[in-house]
Amino acid sequence: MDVVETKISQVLARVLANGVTSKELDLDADLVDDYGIDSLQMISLLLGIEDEFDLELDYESLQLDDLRSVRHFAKYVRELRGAAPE
Amino acid sequence: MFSTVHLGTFDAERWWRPADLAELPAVGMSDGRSVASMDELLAAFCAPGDLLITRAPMAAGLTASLAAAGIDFTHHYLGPDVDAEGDTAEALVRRDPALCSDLRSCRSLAPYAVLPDTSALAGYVGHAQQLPAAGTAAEVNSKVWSNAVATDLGVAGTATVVRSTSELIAEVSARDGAAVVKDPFGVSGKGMLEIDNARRLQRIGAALDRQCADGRRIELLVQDRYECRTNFSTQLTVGSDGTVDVLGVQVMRNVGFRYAGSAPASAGFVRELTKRGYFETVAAVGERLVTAGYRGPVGIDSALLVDDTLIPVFEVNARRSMGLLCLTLDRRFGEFGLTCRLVDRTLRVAPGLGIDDVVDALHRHGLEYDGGDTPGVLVLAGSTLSAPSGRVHMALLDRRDADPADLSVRVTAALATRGFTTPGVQRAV
Repeated sequence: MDVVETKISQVLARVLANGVTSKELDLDADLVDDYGIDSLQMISLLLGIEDEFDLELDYESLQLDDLRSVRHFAKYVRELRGAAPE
Repeated sequence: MFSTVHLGTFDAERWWRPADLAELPAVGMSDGRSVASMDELLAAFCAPGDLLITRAPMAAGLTASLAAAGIDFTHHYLGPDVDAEGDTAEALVRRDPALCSDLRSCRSLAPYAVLPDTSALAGYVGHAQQLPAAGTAAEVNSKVWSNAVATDLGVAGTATVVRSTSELIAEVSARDGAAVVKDPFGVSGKGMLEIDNARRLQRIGAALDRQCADGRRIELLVQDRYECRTNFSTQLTVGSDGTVDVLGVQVMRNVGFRYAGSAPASAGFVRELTKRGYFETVAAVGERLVTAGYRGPVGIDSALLVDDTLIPVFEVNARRSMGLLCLTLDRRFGEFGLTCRLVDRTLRVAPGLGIDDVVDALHRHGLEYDGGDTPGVLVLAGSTLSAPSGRVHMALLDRRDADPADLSVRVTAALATRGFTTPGVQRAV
C-alpha cells in the first residue's frame, strides 16, 4: 500500500465509522457493494480526499462508475496531482 | 369501486425544491431504482377494498407474503421501467384513462406526498378538496419553514438561514466545532454536509459562487453538529376541520445521517417527553400547520442529545413517513400482541437472486410472518433487489417483551444461508 492508498484508506475508515481500521480495508473492494457506502458517505469521502491532498474535485464531471475502490481513487488522485501545476 | 387509492412519488423533496436554488456538492449514486420502488411500502397502509398503484411490478413472493399477513389490496403497476426519472407516479396515472376512472369513483385518494402533479391529478379526478395545495405542502416541508417555527417557539436546536456565500462563511466560521450545512429540501443522506475545516468551507463557498454566477440563489441552513442520544419522530395528522391528532412517537435508528429503521418509543420515553413539555411544542407546530393551510399526515423529527438537551423540531415532514408506516403496522399487529420494528437493510446479492429468495429464505427458517400471534418477519418492499446489491425493507414483528436483537440476528443468519450479506466488513482483510 503506497502513501496515496494509505491516506485514502484512512479517510474511508473515518467515513465508514464502523470499527474497521484503514489497515483492514481491501484496496480492491467495491465501495458500494462491499462496504455499503451511501451517497452521504461518498460525498464525505470526496471532501475528505480534497482535504487530505489539498485538491478541488469537479463533482459535476466525476465518473463514479470508474471510482469504485480505494485503488481506483488512488489512481485518480495521482493523475490529478500529476496534472496540477507545480 | 375502490375505497381508497394509494400512490406516490418517494423522492418528493426533489419535486418541491425550487429549481433556482444552488446545490451543495453532491454525487449521483444510482439508487433511482430502489427509491422509485419504495412505493411498494404503501401496501402497508392498505385495507381490503383499496387500490395500490406502484410504478413497477411487485414480486410475486412479496405480494403473497403480504396477503398471508392479512394485508389485502388490489394492485396495479404503471410499467416495467422504474428508472424513468422524468415523471412522477401521479403524472403517469394522469395519462391512463382507466386508472383515472378508478380514481374518480374511489372514496378517497391517499398520496405519499402532495406534489404539483398530485394536485393536478386530484383536480382532474375530482378529489382536490381532500388535499392541501401543493404550494402549501412545499412550503411547510422546507426546513426554512420548520426552522422559522422552531425559532419563533424559542426551542433549542435551531439553525441560521444563510443566503450568500459570505453569510455562509461567517456563520460556519463563528462556530467552535464542526457545522452542519443543510439544503432546505435535503432528505436523509442527501443535501447535508459537515464542515470541520476552513479549506473545505472555502471550496464549498467557491462551488456555490459558481452556481450564483449562473443565476442561482443560495438558501441554506447552518447548525451545530449535535451528538444525538436518541433520534425520534412524532406522527400527527391535521384534519380538514383543523383538528390536530398526535398519533404516536417512533424512535429512529440512524447510521450517520441516514435512516436505518424505526420502532415505537417506550412508555417511559414518552413519559419523559411529556414531563419536559415536548408535546406542547408538537401541538404548537400543529397549529402553525393548520394556519399555513396544510392538512394530512405529518412527521416531526426530533432528538435527545447526549448532554440531555431536547431538540423538538429538527424538521417537519408533511407527508407520509417511515415513522407513520411503523406506527400503522404496530397498530395493525398490536391486536395479536406483537410490536413492529421497521428495518431498512442494504444487502449484497448474488447473481440471479432477488426479493423472492429473501422471502423464501425467511420462510425456510420459520421466520416469515404469516398472520396471527407468532412473531416473524414481513418483507415490505424490495422488488427491484438484484445483484450486486440493493435495499430491502422489513417489519420485524415480535412480542413486546422480546429482546429486539434476537429476531434481527436470526434474520441475518437466515439470509446468509442464501448468500445475502450486509455490506461492511465481509471483504476486510
